[in-house]
Amino acid sequence: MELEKVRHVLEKCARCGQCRARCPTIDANDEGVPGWEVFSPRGRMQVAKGLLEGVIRPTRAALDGLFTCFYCNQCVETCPSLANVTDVVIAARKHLVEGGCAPASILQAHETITGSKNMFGLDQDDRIELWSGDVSDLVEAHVGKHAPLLYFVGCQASFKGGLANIPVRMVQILDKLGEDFTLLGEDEVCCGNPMELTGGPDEGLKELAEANVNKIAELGVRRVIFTCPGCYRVFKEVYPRLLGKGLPFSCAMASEYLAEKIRSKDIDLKPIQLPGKVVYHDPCELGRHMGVYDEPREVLRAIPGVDLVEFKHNKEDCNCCGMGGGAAMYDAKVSDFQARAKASDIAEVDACSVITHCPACFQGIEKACGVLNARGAGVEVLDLVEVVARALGIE
Amino acid sequence: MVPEEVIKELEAAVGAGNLSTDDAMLYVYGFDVSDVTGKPDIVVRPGTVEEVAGCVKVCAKHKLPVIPRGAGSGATGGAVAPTGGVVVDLTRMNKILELDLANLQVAVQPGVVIDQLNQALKPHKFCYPVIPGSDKMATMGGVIANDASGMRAFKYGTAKDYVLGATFVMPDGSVVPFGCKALKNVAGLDLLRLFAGSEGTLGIMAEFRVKVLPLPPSRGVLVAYFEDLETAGKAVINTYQAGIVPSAVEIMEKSALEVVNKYRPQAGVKVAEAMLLFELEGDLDFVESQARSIGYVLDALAVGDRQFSADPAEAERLWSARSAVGAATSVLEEGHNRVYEGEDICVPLTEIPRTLRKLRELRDKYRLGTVIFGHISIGSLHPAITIRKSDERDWKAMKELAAEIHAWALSVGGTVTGEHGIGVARKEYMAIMHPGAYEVMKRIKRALDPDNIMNPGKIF
Repeated sequence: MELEKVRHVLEKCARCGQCRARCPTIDANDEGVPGWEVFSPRGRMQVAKGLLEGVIRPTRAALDGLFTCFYCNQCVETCPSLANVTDVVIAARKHLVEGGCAPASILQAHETITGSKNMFGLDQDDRIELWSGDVSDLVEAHVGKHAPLLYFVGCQASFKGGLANIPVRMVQILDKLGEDFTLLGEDEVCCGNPMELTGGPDEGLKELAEANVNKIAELGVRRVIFTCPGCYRVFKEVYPRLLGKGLPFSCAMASEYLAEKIRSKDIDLKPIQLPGKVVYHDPCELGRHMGVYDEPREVLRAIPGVDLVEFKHNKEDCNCCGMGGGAAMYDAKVSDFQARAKASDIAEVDACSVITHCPACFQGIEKACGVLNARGAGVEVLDLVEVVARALGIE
Repeated sequence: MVPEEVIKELEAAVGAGNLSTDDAMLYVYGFDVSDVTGKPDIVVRPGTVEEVAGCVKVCAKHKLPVIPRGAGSGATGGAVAPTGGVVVDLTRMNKILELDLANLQVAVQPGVVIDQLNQALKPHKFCYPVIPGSDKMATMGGVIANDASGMRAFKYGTAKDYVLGATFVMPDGSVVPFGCKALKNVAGLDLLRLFAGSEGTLGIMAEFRVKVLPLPPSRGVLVAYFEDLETAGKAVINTYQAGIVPSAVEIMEKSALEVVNKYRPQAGVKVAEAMLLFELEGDLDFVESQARSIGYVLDALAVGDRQFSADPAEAERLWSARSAVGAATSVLEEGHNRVYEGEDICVPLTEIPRTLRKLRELRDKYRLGTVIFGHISIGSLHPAITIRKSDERDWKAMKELAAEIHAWALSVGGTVTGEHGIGVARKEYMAIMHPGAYEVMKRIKRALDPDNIMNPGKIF
């Protein structure tokens, strides 16, 4: 009984409503959507409590409330009672999945991941094919080899053509820095993040965790590098719980790895030309969930020519881009709305480039930039590794 | 169960998509901060004064309870529906209608959040000075309907002091504008001050015109530690007698200092019998001069342990101890969580030291973790009681403790609520606090709302 496990969190909630202040789905706005109490963190807590106590049924409003949460953790940052609201949201989603009451789109997604080992239902053979392009020789040379360092690409960057530049640049950076590295190739399976966020069953998740961890261990890897905070968080926080033991390797986001290289002076970053101001967007799963705020900034500040500015709401208070928590899988409109809100943040700082460090955020920020560019703004979105690659002279 | 025809009439009044009868939706609207619960039959979200009036008309026709609701951040059950009925969620009406700053006023809809208004005023160097602790989510409608205030009440007063005009939706659905743009107005009975603080029992205030003030250019914080409670109390009075009007004076009793020290050591809090935080506003020279004057007051009382800063970051750090009390209370004892009962007494200033000692005595008697702090500037104290919510014995003990806290406040000439209101939670004290006057209030209520549809069960 998943909700029973979070009863103590539900009891922490004093229903003060402070969480309403920064929750993106209840936030007061000109367009006034969604606005109903059920879209607030407090409302979601009450829905979970009602389900736990069996006093409400999983109605449409219950599903809408629970499955539109971006998992951004603003509520957790805000809560004066220190209640981990997003833990409750995930437990409630799991409760609904176990009870067969989850939305069809969510159940379908779980089935796809379990069956195809990736979130897009595509052939695993395409995991490298779809992004490697011009660097296919370089990639081929590293896939499946024994090495101390492994780059875990993740489903988004592997299968979504628009994100191909992220793994391409990461592989080129590792090559340029002379790393002895490896990739799993078609043996890489979904980390399980979308399943975990949307209440997927532990057995399915465990199977994915075992497949990834066993294969990585077989290659003698001591450290895994990520460009996706979703994968990173699941490896670091969820896998040890699922597997009942620590991982036989360490995990680092690319920015953490690159910041170390900068500190040890093992990287030579040349000046680059990025027009105008550059702003960094903190991905929710990397920032509020994993506490990684400084390294991406450290990396960007080390690159001559980057005029880094900050959002008014940044770091712990950074506004979500709308792509988190699996909400877009349930209701794309909620996600699109948040992208428009993010566009206002970008316009406010008058940035020409938005840098992020997450393939999901890349897509959310792209939507936000699309809103601004339709008004003639000319804002570009880049992943952090693309910027670093430019500073290393990689074309 | 509300008949289908009534639902259709309400939907016609409020527009499709702005009415819900979904069971889970109704359930979440059945709560506020208090432990009073009550699930409505319907929730509507009007977007205009006309839609509010249309909903109230339908409810009047069918004699259905009408429960106005803002952010639901009240602590008395005021925004829930113990007798069922229609919750009118006003948060969709969140527009600032006019900034008329040359006339020191703004017009707003009831769903505007206090912080939203202040953010809009800030670039113009104005502010709405009624800032309750819930200002980041509390709405103008809720704040005015409950006559809320907060820590700056000593200097700035309460919400009712800033209302220049309002559009009332009466219990029969008629729309009655009141007030004008003048900053003073004594023409006839003051309905604004009757409605402000009436907790939605007389009608719905669907638009407001409120006074705003210049935003003080700088702010300083002076922190002082006390080894006895009497001296802390004297320091406040002596400060006033020295001609100083701080924008806030907050007290953190030993229990609050201990938990904050444990929860946020970087705040640098020392454990003493009490700590006072004086907030000073004005131009920098004035702030510093006021701080010096308070220093003389403290010197005369032989209070040496203090810190002052008008530097924004350092002032924020000093204030962070006070900001951390809420969260710190949550870590007071594992498995114990805060409940809002007996949390809002207000006593005469001279009774503060005795009241603090009484609260300590009651805390020990009931063995419930209780953190004590409040707005000493105006005599408001907020004892934060924590209990094991799954333990019936804790609930029982907490109820008895809250009753004793209330009884004490009344015995020293105070009130059971300084700023949170009556609602359902403190209704039993109305007849005790207002022998005679409560009957007058009831007559007013009956005259305006003969069918008792407006927020029934609250106050009356």
